[in-house]
Amino acid sequence: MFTCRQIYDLITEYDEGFLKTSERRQFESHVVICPPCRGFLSQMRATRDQLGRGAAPEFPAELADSIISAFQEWKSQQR
Amino acid sequence: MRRRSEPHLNRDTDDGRRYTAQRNGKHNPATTSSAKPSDDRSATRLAERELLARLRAGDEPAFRQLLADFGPAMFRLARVYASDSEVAAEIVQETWVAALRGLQGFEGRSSLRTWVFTILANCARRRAKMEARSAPLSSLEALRGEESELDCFFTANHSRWASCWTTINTRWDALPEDALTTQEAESAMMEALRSLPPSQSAVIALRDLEGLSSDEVCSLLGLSVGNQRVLLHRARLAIRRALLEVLDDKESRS
Repeated sequence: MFTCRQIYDLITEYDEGFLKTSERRQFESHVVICPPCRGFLSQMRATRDQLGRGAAPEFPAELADSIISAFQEWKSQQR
Repeated sequence: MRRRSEPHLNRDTDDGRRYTAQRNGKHNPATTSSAKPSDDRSATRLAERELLARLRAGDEPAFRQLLADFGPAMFRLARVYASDSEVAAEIVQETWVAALRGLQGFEGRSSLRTWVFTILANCARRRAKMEARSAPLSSLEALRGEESELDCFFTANHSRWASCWTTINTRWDALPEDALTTQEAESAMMEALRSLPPSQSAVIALRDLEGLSSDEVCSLLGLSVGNQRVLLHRARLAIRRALLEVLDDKESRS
Protein backbone atom coordinates (compact mmCIF):
# COMPACT_ATOMS: atom_id res chain seq x y z
CA MET A 1 0.00 0.00 0.00
CA PHE A 2 1.33 3.41 -0.91
CA THR A 3 1.68 6.17 1.65
CA CYS A 4 0.29 9.66 1.07
CA ARG A 5 3.84 10.81 0.51
CA GLN A 6 4.18 8.28 -2.31
CA ILE A 7 0.88 9.33 -3.83
CA TYR A 8 2.25 12.86 -3.84
CA ASP A 9 5.32 11.71 -5.76
CA LEU A 10 3.48 9.41 -8.16
CA ILE A 11 0.47 11.48 -9.07
CA THR A 12 1.75 12.77 -12.39
CA GLU A 13 2.90 9.32 -13.43
CA TYR A 14 -0.57 8.10 -12.57
CA ASP A 15 -2.35 10.83 -14.46
CA GLU A 16 -0.06 10.40 -17.44
CA GLY A 17 -0.83 6.70 -17.49
CA PHE A 18 2.69 5.56 -16.74
CA LEU A 19 2.13 3.41 -13.70
CA LYS A 20 2.25 -0.34 -14.08
CA THR A 21 -1.08 -2.06 -13.57
CA SER A 22 -0.14 -3.27 -10.10
CA GLU A 23 1.06 0.19 -9.07
CA ARG A 24 -2.04 1.78 -10.49
CA ARG A 25 -4.20 -0.53 -8.43
CA GLN A 26 -2.25 0.28 -5.30
CA PHE A 27 -2.53 3.96 -6.09
CA GLU A 28 -6.26 3.78 -6.58
CA SER A 29 -6.94 1.67 -3.53
CA HIS A 30 -5.09 4.23 -1.44
CA VAL A 31 -6.83 7.24 -2.90
CA VAL A 32 -10.26 5.72 -2.61
CA ILE A 33 -9.98 5.54 1.17
CA CYS A 34 -7.93 8.71 1.70
CA PRO A 35 -9.79 12.05 1.53
CA PRO A 36 -6.67 14.26 1.65
CA CYS A 37 -5.20 12.38 -1.30
CA ARG A 38 -8.46 12.68 -3.21
CA GLY A 39 -8.34 16.40 -2.49
CA PHE A 40 -4.77 16.56 -3.67
CA LEU A 41 -5.63 14.68 -6.86
CA SER A 42 -8.45 17.12 -7.58
CA GLN A 43 -6.13 20.04 -6.89
CA MET A 44 -3.49 18.80 -9.31
CA ARG A 45 -6.07 18.23 -12.01
CA ALA A 46 -7.69 21.59 -11.41
CA THR A 47 -4.26 23.20 -11.70
CA ARG A 48 -3.61 21.47 -14.99
CA ASP A 49 -7.02 22.39 -16.39
CA GLN A 50 -6.88 25.95 -15.11
CA LEU A 51 -3.65 26.59 -16.99
CA GLY A 52 -5.22 25.52 -20.24
CA ARG A 53 -8.26 27.66 -19.66
CA GLY A 54 -6.49 30.99 -19.40
CA ALA A 55 -7.30 33.23 -22.29
CA ALA A 56 -4.51 33.89 -24.73
CA PRO A 57 -3.38 37.48 -24.36
CA GLU A 58 -4.50 39.67 -27.20
CA PHE A 59 -2.19 39.33 -30.16
CA PRO A 60 -0.93 42.87 -30.78
CA ALA A 61 -2.06 44.22 -34.15
CA GLU A 62 1.27 46.00 -34.72
CA LEU A 63 3.03 42.70 -34.21
CA ALA A 64 0.87 41.03 -36.85
CA ASP A 65 1.60 43.91 -39.23
CA SER A 66 5.31 43.76 -38.70
CA ILE A 67 5.34 39.97 -39.19
CA ILE A 68 3.40 40.36 -42.43
CA SER A 69 5.96 42.95 -43.56
CA ALA A 70 8.71 40.49 -42.74
CA PHE A 71 6.90 37.96 -44.91
CA GLN A 72 6.60 40.40 -47.82
CA GLU A 73 10.25 41.29 -47.53
CA TRP A 74 11.18 37.61 -47.46
CA LYS A 75 8.97 37.02 -50.51
CA SER A 76 10.64 39.81 -52.46
CA GLN A 77 14.01 38.23 -51.77
CA GLN A 78 12.92 34.85 -53.04
CA ARG A 79 13.15 35.77 -56.70
CA MET B 1 2.34 7.59 -30.03
CA ARG B 2 1.86 7.29 -26.34
CA ARG B 3 -1.56 8.53 -25.45
CA ARG B 4 -2.70 9.66 -22.09
CA SER B 5 -4.97 7.06 -20.69
CA GLU B 6 -7.03 8.97 -18.27
CA PRO B 7 -7.27 6.82 -15.20
CA HIS B 8 -10.79 5.95 -14.23
CA LEU B 9 -10.54 7.05 -10.65
CA ASN B 10 -12.55 10.12 -9.83
CA ARG B 11 -13.71 10.47 -13.33
CA ASP B 12 -16.26 12.93 -12.04
CA THR B 13 -13.47 15.36 -11.33
CA ASP B 14 -12.72 15.38 -14.99
CA ASP B 15 -15.12 17.26 -17.07
CA GLY B 16 -14.39 16.24 -20.58
CA ARG B 17 -13.00 19.65 -21.44
CA ARG B 18 -9.72 17.83 -21.47
CA TYR B 19 -7.62 17.25 -23.41
CA THR B 20 -7.32 20.69 -24.58
CA ALA B 21 -4.74 19.38 -26.99
CA GLN B 22 -7.65 19.33 -29.34
CA ARG B 23 -8.58 22.93 -28.91
CA ASN B 24 -5.60 23.92 -30.97
CA GLY B 25 -6.65 21.88 -33.89
CA LYS B 26 -5.53 18.88 -35.72
CA HIS B 27 -2.20 18.03 -34.27
CA ASN B 28 -3.56 15.15 -32.24
CA PRO B 29 -5.20 13.06 -34.90
CA ALA B 30 -5.60 9.99 -32.74
CA THR B 31 -8.31 11.70 -30.74
CA THR B 32 -10.43 13.04 -33.56
CA SER B 33 -12.71 10.02 -33.56
CA SER B 34 -14.30 8.36 -36.57
CA ALA B 35 -11.59 8.11 -39.23
CA LYS B 36 -8.79 5.69 -38.58
CA PRO B 37 -5.87 7.51 -37.01
CA SER B 38 -3.55 6.63 -39.85
CA ASP B 39 -5.93 8.00 -42.48
CA ASP B 40 -6.35 11.09 -40.45
CA ARG B 41 -2.68 11.54 -40.04
CA SER B 42 -1.87 11.15 -43.68
CA ALA B 43 -4.64 13.61 -44.51
CA THR B 44 -3.04 16.05 -42.11
CA ARG B 45 0.34 15.41 -43.66
CA LEU B 46 -1.06 16.04 -47.10
CA ALA B 47 -2.63 19.30 -45.96
CA GLU B 48 0.69 20.32 -44.45
CA ARG B 49 2.57 19.59 -47.65
CA GLU B 50 0.13 21.74 -49.59
CA LEU B 51 0.40 24.50 -47.06
CA LEU B 52 4.17 24.33 -47.17
CA ALA B 53 4.19 24.54 -50.94
CA ARG B 54 1.96 27.60 -50.85
CA LEU B 55 4.08 29.27 -48.21
CA ARG B 56 7.26 28.61 -50.14
CA ALA B 57 5.64 30.11 -53.22
CA GLY B 58 5.03 33.27 -51.21
CA ASP B 59 1.26 32.90 -50.87
CA GLU B 60 0.36 35.71 -48.49
CA PRO B 61 -3.18 34.58 -47.59
CA ALA B 62 -1.73 31.20 -46.60
CA PHE B 63 0.83 32.96 -44.43
CA ARG B 64 -1.80 35.16 -42.83
CA GLN B 65 -3.84 32.09 -42.03
CA LEU B 66 -0.81 30.40 -40.47
CA LEU B 67 -0.12 33.50 -38.42
CA ALA B 68 -3.72 33.58 -37.24
CA ASP B 69 -3.51 29.89 -36.30
CA PHE B 70 -0.19 29.92 -34.49
CA GLY B 71 0.21 33.54 -33.45
CA PRO B 72 -1.86 33.72 -30.26
CA ALA B 73 -0.40 30.52 -28.82
CA MET B 74 3.10 31.69 -29.70
CA PHE B 75 2.54 35.02 -28.06
CA ARG B 76 1.18 33.39 -24.95
CA LEU B 77 4.14 31.04 -24.76
CA ALA B 78 6.55 33.92 -25.26
CA ARG B 79 4.84 35.72 -22.38
CA VAL B 80 5.83 32.85 -20.13
CA TYR B 81 9.48 33.43 -20.85
CA ALA B 82 9.50 37.17 -21.21
CA SER B 83 9.20 39.72 -18.48
CA ASP B 84 6.88 41.98 -20.46
CA SER B 85 4.76 41.84 -23.55
CA GLU B 86 7.12 44.01 -25.59
CA VAL B 87 9.88 41.46 -25.18
CA ALA B 88 7.38 38.70 -25.92
CA ALA B 89 6.41 40.45 -29.15
CA GLU B 90 10.08 40.66 -30.12
CA ILE B 91 10.49 36.96 -29.49
CA VAL B 92 7.52 36.15 -31.71
CA GLN B 93 8.78 38.48 -34.44
CA GLU B 94 12.25 36.97 -34.26
CA THR B 95 10.73 33.49 -34.47
CA TRP B 96 8.87 34.26 -37.69
CA VAL B 97 11.92 35.84 -39.26
CA ALA B 98 13.95 32.75 -38.41
CA ALA B 99 11.17 30.45 -39.62
CA LEU B 100 10.97 32.26 -42.97
CA ARG B 101 14.72 32.06 -43.32
CA GLY B 102 14.55 28.32 -42.72
CA LEU B 103 11.39 27.66 -44.69
CA GLN B 104 12.96 26.51 -47.94
CA GLY B 105 15.20 24.12 -46.06
CA PHE B 106 12.47 22.73 -43.79
CA GLU B 107 12.11 19.05 -44.60
CA GLY B 108 8.81 18.42 -42.90
CA ARG B 109 10.14 15.73 -40.58
CA SER B 110 8.20 17.29 -37.75
CA SER B 111 4.92 19.12 -38.08
CA LEU B 112 5.09 22.75 -39.08
CA ARG B 113 3.70 23.62 -35.69
CA THR B 114 6.33 21.69 -33.76
CA TRP B 115 9.01 23.23 -35.94
CA VAL B 116 7.80 26.79 -35.38
CA PHE B 117 7.42 26.23 -31.65
CA THR B 118 10.92 24.79 -31.45
CA ILE B 119 12.26 27.96 -33.01
CA LEU B 120 10.19 29.99 -30.58
CA ALA B 121 11.50 28.05 -27.59
CA ASN B 122 15.07 28.61 -28.75
CA CYS B 123 14.56 32.32 -29.36
CA ALA B 124 12.86 32.68 -26.01
CA ARG B 125 15.58 30.85 -24.14
CA ARG B 126 18.24 32.97 -25.76
CA ARG B 127 16.32 36.09 -24.82
CA ALA B 128 15.74 34.93 -21.27
CA LYS B 129 19.46 34.35 -20.90
CA MET B 130 20.19 37.82 -22.24
CA GLU B 131 17.70 39.31 -19.89
CA ALA B 132 19.52 37.44 -17.16
CA ARG B 133 16.42 36.33 -15.41
CA SER B 134 18.90 34.05 -13.80
CA ALA B 135 18.10 30.41 -13.49
CA PRO B 136 19.95 29.95 -10.18
CA LEU B 137 17.56 32.30 -8.43
CA SER B 138 14.49 30.64 -9.85
CA SER B 139 15.79 27.18 -9.00
CA LEU B 140 16.41 28.32 -5.49
CA GLU B 141 12.85 29.55 -5.19
CA ALA B 142 11.52 26.31 -6.57
CA LEU B 143 13.62 24.39 -4.08
CA ARG B 144 12.23 26.44 -1.23
CA GLY B 145 8.78 25.60 -2.50
CA GLU B 146 9.51 21.93 -2.44
CA GLU B 147 11.01 22.06 1.01
CA SER B 148 8.03 23.79 2.48
CA GLU B 149 5.86 21.20 0.81
CA LEU B 150 7.45 18.59 3.05
CA ASP B 151 5.74 20.23 6.01
CA CYS B 152 2.55 18.85 4.57
CA PHE B 153 3.47 15.35 5.67
CA PHE B 154 3.93 13.71 9.02
CA THR B 155 7.33 12.10 9.37
CA ALA B 156 7.87 8.55 8.17
CA ASN B 157 8.21 7.32 11.74
CA HIS B 158 5.16 9.05 13.15
CA SER B 159 3.33 6.60 15.41
CA ARG B 160 -0.10 7.09 13.91
CA TRP B 161 0.12 9.17 10.74
CA ALA B 162 3.43 8.09 9.22
CA SER B 163 3.93 9.83 5.85
CA CYS B 164 0.33 11.04 5.88
CA TRP B 165 -0.82 14.52 4.97
CA THR B 166 -0.92 17.09 7.75
CA THR B 167 -3.38 19.03 5.62
CA ILE B 168 -6.97 18.40 4.66
CA ASN B 169 -6.66 19.27 0.96
CA THR B 170 -10.00 20.71 0.02
CA ARG B 171 -11.33 19.34 -3.22
CA TRP B 172 -10.99 21.92 -5.94
CA ASP B 173 -13.52 20.28 -8.19
CA ALA B 174 -16.11 21.18 -5.56
CA LEU B 175 -15.15 24.84 -5.44
CA PRO B 176 -17.46 27.52 -6.82
CA GLU B 177 -16.95 27.78 -10.56
CA ASP B 178 -15.00 31.03 -10.46
CA ALA B 179 -12.81 30.43 -7.42
CA LEU B 180 -9.78 29.68 -9.57
CA THR B 181 -10.48 32.20 -12.28
CA THR B 182 -10.14 35.34 -10.21
CA GLN B 183 -7.65 37.95 -11.32
CA GLU B 184 -5.65 37.14 -8.23
CA ALA B 185 -5.49 33.43 -8.96
CA GLU B 186 -4.64 34.09 -12.58
CA SER B 187 -1.74 36.38 -11.77
CA ALA B 188 -0.45 34.11 -9.00
CA MET B 189 -0.44 31.29 -11.53
CA MET B 190 1.43 33.27 -14.16
CA GLU B 191 3.87 34.61 -11.58
CA ALA B 192 4.58 31.07 -10.37
CA LEU B 193 4.99 29.95 -13.95
CA ARG B 194 7.58 32.63 -14.62
CA SER B 195 9.59 31.88 -11.53
CA LEU B 196 9.98 28.20 -12.36
CA PRO B 197 13.33 26.96 -13.60
CA PRO B 198 13.25 27.38 -17.40
CA SER B 199 13.11 23.67 -18.15
CA GLN B 200 10.03 23.29 -15.96
CA SER B 201 8.26 26.35 -17.30
CA ALA B 202 8.89 25.25 -20.87
CA VAL B 203 7.41 21.81 -20.23
CA ILE B 204 4.33 22.94 -18.35
CA ALA B 205 3.63 25.82 -20.73
CA LEU B 206 3.69 23.51 -23.72
CA ARG B 207 1.77 20.72 -22.05
CA ASP B 208 -0.84 22.51 -19.98
CA LEU B 209 -1.11 25.94 -21.59
CA GLU B 210 -0.76 24.94 -25.20
CA GLY B 211 -2.09 21.42 -24.86
CA LEU B 212 0.70 19.66 -26.70
CA SER B 213 1.10 15.93 -26.17
CA SER B 214 3.88 14.45 -24.11
CA ASP B 215 5.52 13.14 -27.29
CA GLU B 216 5.44 16.50 -28.99
CA VAL B 217 6.99 18.19 -25.98
CA CYS B 218 9.72 15.57 -25.69
CA SER B 219 10.75 15.98 -29.30
CA LEU B 220 10.41 19.73 -29.17
CA LEU B 221 12.59 20.16 -26.12
CA GLY B 222 14.77 17.12 -26.67
CA LEU B 223 13.76 15.45 -23.41
CA SER B 224 13.32 11.82 -22.48
CA VAL B 225 9.79 10.80 -21.57
CA GLY B 226 10.78 10.25 -17.95
CA ASN B 227 12.55 13.55 -17.70
CA GLN B 228 9.64 15.41 -19.18
CA ARG B 229 7.32 13.81 -16.66
CA VAL B 230 9.48 14.79 -13.71
CA LEU B 231 9.66 18.39 -14.90
CA LEU B 232 5.92 18.46 -15.45
CA HIS B 233 5.29 17.01 -12.00
CA ARG B 234 7.46 19.58 -10.23
CA ALA B 235 6.00 22.40 -12.27
CA ARG B 236 2.40 21.41 -11.56
CA LEU B 237 3.20 21.08 -7.86
CA ALA B 238 4.61 24.58 -7.84
CA ILE B 239 1.63 26.08 -9.62
CA ARG B 240 -0.76 24.20 -7.37
CA ARG B 241 1.08 25.60 -4.38
CA ALA B 242 0.73 29.12 -5.73
CA LEU B 243 -3.01 28.60 -6.18
CA LEU B 244 -3.21 27.08 -2.73
CA GLU B 245 -1.75 30.22 -1.24
CA VAL B 246 -4.34 32.30 -3.02
CA LEU B 247 -7.19 30.11 -1.89
CA ASP B 248 -5.66 30.09 1.55
CA ASP B 249 -7.53 27.02 2.56
CA LYS B 250 -4.79 25.19 4.33
CA GLU B 251 -6.14 23.74 7.50
CA SER B 252 -4.29 21.44 9.76
CA ARG B 253 -5.73 18.02 10.32
CA SER B 254 -3.90 17.38 13.54
